[in-house]
Amino acid sequence: MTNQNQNQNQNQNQNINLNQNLNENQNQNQNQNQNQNQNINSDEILFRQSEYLMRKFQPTLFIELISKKLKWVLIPVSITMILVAFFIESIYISGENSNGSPKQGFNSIPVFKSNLNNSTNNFNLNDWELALFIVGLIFATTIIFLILFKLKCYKILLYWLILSTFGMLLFFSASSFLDILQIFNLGIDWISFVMLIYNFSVVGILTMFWHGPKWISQGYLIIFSVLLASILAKLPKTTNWILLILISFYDIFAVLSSKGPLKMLIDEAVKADQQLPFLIYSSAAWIFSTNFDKENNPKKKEKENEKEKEKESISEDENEELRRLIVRPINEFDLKNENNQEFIQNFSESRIKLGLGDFIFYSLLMSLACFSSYLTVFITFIGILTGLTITLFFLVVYEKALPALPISIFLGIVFYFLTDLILNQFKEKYEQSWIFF
Amino acid sequence: MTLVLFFGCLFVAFSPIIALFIFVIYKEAKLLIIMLAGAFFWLLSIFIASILWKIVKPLQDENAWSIAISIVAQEGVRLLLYKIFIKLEANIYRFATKQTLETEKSYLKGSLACGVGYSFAYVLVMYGSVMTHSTGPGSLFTSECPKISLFIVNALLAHNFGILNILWTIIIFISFKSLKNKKENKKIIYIFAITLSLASHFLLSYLTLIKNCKVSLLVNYLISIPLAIIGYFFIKKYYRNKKDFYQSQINETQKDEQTIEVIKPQENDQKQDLTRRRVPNDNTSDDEPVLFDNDIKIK
Repeated sequence: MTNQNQNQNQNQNQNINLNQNLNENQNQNQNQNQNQNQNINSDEILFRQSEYLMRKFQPTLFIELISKKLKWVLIPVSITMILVAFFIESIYISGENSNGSPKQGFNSIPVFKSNLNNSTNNFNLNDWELALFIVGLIFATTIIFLILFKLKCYKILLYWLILSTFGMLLFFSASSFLDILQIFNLGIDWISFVMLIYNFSVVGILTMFWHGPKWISQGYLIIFSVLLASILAKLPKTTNWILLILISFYDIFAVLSSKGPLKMLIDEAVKADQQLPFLIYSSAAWIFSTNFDKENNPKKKEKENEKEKEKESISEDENEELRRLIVRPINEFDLKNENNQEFIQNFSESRIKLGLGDFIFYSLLMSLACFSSYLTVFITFIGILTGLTITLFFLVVYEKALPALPISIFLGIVFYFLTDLILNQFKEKYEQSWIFF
Repeated sequence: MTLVLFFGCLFVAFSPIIALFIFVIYKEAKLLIIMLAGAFFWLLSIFIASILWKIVKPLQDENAWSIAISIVAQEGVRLLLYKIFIKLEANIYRFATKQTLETEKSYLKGSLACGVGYSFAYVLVMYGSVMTHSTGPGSLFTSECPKISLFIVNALLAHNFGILNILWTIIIFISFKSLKNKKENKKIIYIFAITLSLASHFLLSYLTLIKNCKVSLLVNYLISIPLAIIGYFFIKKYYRNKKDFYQSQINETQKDEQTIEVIKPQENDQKQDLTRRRVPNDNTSDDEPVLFDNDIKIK
């Protein structure tokens, strides 16, 4: 799901939809409702004035600020997709094994395979039934989230989130690392292996759920989605295709319809004025902490103190406020004005947020394209990115929480099948010579 | 020939795109989105061409017809891209600022971004899959050209076609914009430019059918270098007096050098009274006779 986070001065709280499979942690810049005593919300009026002036007198700057936000979402998505394609291509598909045999891709994980003679064993799932099962699991977890959120058990959610990400980081990084070791025929003793994996995961948890440098937490979010996508790619191919299609439909249902669990979660979060505990990629992710206990957050506390002091110094005399508002010139957008600078800063800081589930399913589609040829990889890459820009464009226009999956996945699948069936043959004919058209 | 050949071919083929990306497009975020749109539309054109190729069976044997179809598709989609680009610009501007866009502005950087996206997808599809095979331990030579590796020949040709695609995009954007302009007098120049770009596209791609690689390369360079020079001067002359729509208003720190778009004052504003003449600074009072009757009193 994508979301656009608004300014602190605004009373609206934009909410985020996400893909439920992963518990996610999010931070919102919330308005602290400090202007309850005053009739005029001067900050909001100043904000709107600056916005009006900027839109009128500096339109290209305004458009540029909006498109900067899009850029800072497009870049990490493309990085994850390239990393996944590179990883799967080099480790599992191309080249030779260490013993000289060509790589055939990894063996799909056979799930629920029953070799026994039990005729009463009903747990025999087809490929497509498995996809349905996974979507059902995701649905169930979101409903559990919703129930817990309504019962105000925020801490339980957070701890569940932390435990599950820790476990996933441990086991999936261990699995990928073992694959790499096996293919390059390297060895490592179990003590160093455990230390490496343990440290890697713990640092990830610390930076994602607590303080840490911004780039490290963003890097860990990217690595997390890479690992999950490469693990999910080991499922049979038919499950993956059907999973992608079903997930995109589920996304539309969950986010846009009034009875969808994600929409209800967001409404609950707005009502309760609480943050949603989800893992979300936000470009300004260094303020990454939960808002459940407001006192324990030193960084945010500084900001709150400053804001409170500012508000106290503003006199409650309405005439002075009005005078302060009216004195601004209204025939130009002067950058030297403090209010305008503040507006630009706040506008630039409010970032678009994209859930990690979207990252994972885009990368899953890329990994599926890796098995066919290099051309499909390039073309699905472009297709997914255009789908993402279209959804972000709609997000800017409508300013609502929107599902980020369906358009990109639809475009990606269409492009994949067009290249796989048609363009590869068209290309093979002209690949042997230097015919360019 | 391992990674050495791979990176060499990559940088030879993609160098104009990478250079323009780093120095022009990455600095303004809007151009990145336009570049993606350009790539998307080129893919549409090649899908159209390949679907036609698949459906019509006799085409599959003849090279000439399939080349013709793909070129027609590419140029047609280029025109479509131009129209969509213009419309999108106006609509986005109107959405963001609630004003209408002045049509006198030109889009140098926008058309450049479209061209870069177009050529990026072109080089990626035409040459990308060949390039990825070059990481192996050997190199590929064809019977028609036993001395120069196929990867290198294709890289050089892709480099050429990449630059030319950018040029063609810009020229076609310019020409169609000027043809639409009613005040423009010399429309023949722009029609000539369009035909020149189309003809050069056809010519250069048919010349790649030559069996000898050295001749093919030589002829390609002989035609494309003069074309590039002519295109450069054409674009320079067109943009000599025009103000670019994407003038740099982006850098907020450069406050003094910033150019601010000032909306023209409305007609209700009081215009300067040009009939006013300066009265010399005389210390006469109002009772004394006025020397000039024509003086208009300043209010």
